[in-house]
Amino acid sequence: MRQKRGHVAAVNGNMVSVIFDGDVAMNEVAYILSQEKKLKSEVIRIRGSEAQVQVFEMTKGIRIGDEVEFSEEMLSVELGPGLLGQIYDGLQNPLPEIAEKTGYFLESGVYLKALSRSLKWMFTPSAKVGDLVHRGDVLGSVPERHFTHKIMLPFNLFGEWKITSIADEGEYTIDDTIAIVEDGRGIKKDISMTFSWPVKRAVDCYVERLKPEQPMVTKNRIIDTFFPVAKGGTYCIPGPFGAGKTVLQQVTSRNADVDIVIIAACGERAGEVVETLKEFPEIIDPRTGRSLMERTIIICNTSSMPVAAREASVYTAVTLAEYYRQMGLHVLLLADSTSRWAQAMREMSGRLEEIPGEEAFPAYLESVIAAFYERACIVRLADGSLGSVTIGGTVSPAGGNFEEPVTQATLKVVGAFHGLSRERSDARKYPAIHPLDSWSKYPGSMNRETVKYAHAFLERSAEVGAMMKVVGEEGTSLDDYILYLKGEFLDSVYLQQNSFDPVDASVSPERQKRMFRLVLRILGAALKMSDKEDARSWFYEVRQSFLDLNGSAEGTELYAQSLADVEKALADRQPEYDAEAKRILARLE
Amino acid sequence: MNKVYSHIESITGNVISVRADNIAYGELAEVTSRYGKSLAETIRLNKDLVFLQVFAGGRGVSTGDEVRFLGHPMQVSFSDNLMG
Repeated sequence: MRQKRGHVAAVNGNMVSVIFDGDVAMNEVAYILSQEKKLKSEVIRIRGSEAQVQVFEMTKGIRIGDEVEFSEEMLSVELGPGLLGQIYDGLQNPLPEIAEKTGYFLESGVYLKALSRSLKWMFTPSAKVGDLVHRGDVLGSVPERHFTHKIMLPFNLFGEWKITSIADEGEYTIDDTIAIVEDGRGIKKDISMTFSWPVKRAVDCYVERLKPEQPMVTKNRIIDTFFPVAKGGTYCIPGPFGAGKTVLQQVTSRNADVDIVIIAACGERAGEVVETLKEFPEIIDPRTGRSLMERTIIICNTSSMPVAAREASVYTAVTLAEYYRQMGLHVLLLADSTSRWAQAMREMSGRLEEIPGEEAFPAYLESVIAAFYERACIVRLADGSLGSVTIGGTVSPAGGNFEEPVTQATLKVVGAFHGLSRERSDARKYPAIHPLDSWSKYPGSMNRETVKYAHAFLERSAEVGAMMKVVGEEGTSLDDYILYLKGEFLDSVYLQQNSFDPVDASVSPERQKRMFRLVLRILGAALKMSDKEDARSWFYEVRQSFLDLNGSAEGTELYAQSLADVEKALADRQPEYDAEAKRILARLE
Repeated sequence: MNKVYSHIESITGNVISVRADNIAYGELAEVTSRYGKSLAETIRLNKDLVFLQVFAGGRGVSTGDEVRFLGHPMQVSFSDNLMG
């Protein structure tokens, strides 16, 4: 290849035009040599001998004529043991180490290796000399935290390779050669524990892509029962500012039954990210009893950092997720928030003087969002095990108006929609997921028909509630009024959860099933009530007992007592069930 | 007819352009980059500039990559086995 160099011809905000000689690839990384620093950038358009690059740093100080070096690599991340527990910026620079080196104010042009070069890992080989391997095949493993981190043949070695030597069991750093492989033409490659992969290309070393059907348990009743998310599926949480998007994501990352959580804090306020960074090391992972940080990777690119790196940060996060998926692990990626990511795209598109689409977002916004969510999947790997990447993205539409391009484009591609509402969060209802607006296409742990039956109560109750606002309580019939109370009851004892209560904060699927049946026994029953006042006070009492029940662990005295209270109250009203209710209840046995 | 062009003039999103003569509108081409081969379709002609949309996307395509025109538009094979 010809020598690849160039010089700066124009600067426009974060976009720099470079005149180059030789060949340049789209999305190739280039470094601008300015003020004795190397500023990282990415090629986003090529026209003749001029390339436009987006710079991942502040562009102040760049002069016309500054030299530019092309790296011949696409923007990549480093993969290998040691990623877990790390805090990276959007380009995979380890932030704590940068802080050590440059102090608390980020300096531009400082890039560090993502993985520690001095740390030694206990390597156990599993492949033998003479084995034929393909990309993604396992050569051996090292223990990382409480996972077995598989060392795989780099994903960029296409074709069939023969192992000519492999290291013995022992301690190695990630740069040490642990194997040598040779292909049919006699080309030899040294394999270490680390390799890099371009972030904008999906990792595709799997046998088969499966339909996401296995539910991902979040221990959140409204999500698990009503709007489930499948492993390998996608969901989005749009909501106005302060409705609890970030809190919901944090709670999910704590309780979800996945192996690894990757948080991409993308364009969020720095203060909020600090909260996550402070809290996570102290939260105990309920499954392992160790710090939650040990199974988490945080990619943070706050609103105070340069815009171009924000565009890259979600891709960095999803590539790390795909890497762990290749080991047969279940990974949850939480992107907060994709609106800010789309804004970064809009900014660059504007600078490129592309024809704008709706709200000045680029015309290709939808296909880019779709391509990102498309990287979520559950796959069967070569060794038969399953691995998944589930993507949950928050969207923060201005003013809580869901009729804007980012929300609409996201809704077209995701499998579940957890819409937060201002009204519910103002009423201190947690989670503020709106039960009538939200939906999910995935099968949950509960039977679909049963859930539909319960959901119908919410709909009819909301109708009666709206009518009552017009005609008043007096103008409503007793039957309608009871229906209204039933909907309110379901909302307050089942849809809402007390996240400060250790028992109520995370509810296992088994317990959800028992409680759901109990709720349905009340909803499905024709109850004997003398008048509205009677109905209101009865529901008030049952609700109190039920809330006590929600807050007490099974086997405790309070649990037995509150359960007995609910049962007694129900028996008092001589409940009668119609054929449909009987069928639904029988199914929940 | 199957001339190989090894200089790509511009890359914008998924659309690339090469200088070539005697290319028909709608003609297919094969783009070979370091990440594999992809088909591309001619979507615009302007004098000797030919614009192609790359089906696998423009990511990773270099100005030095090879473009080979296939001399025919998009084709599908038919047989009774297509059913089902």
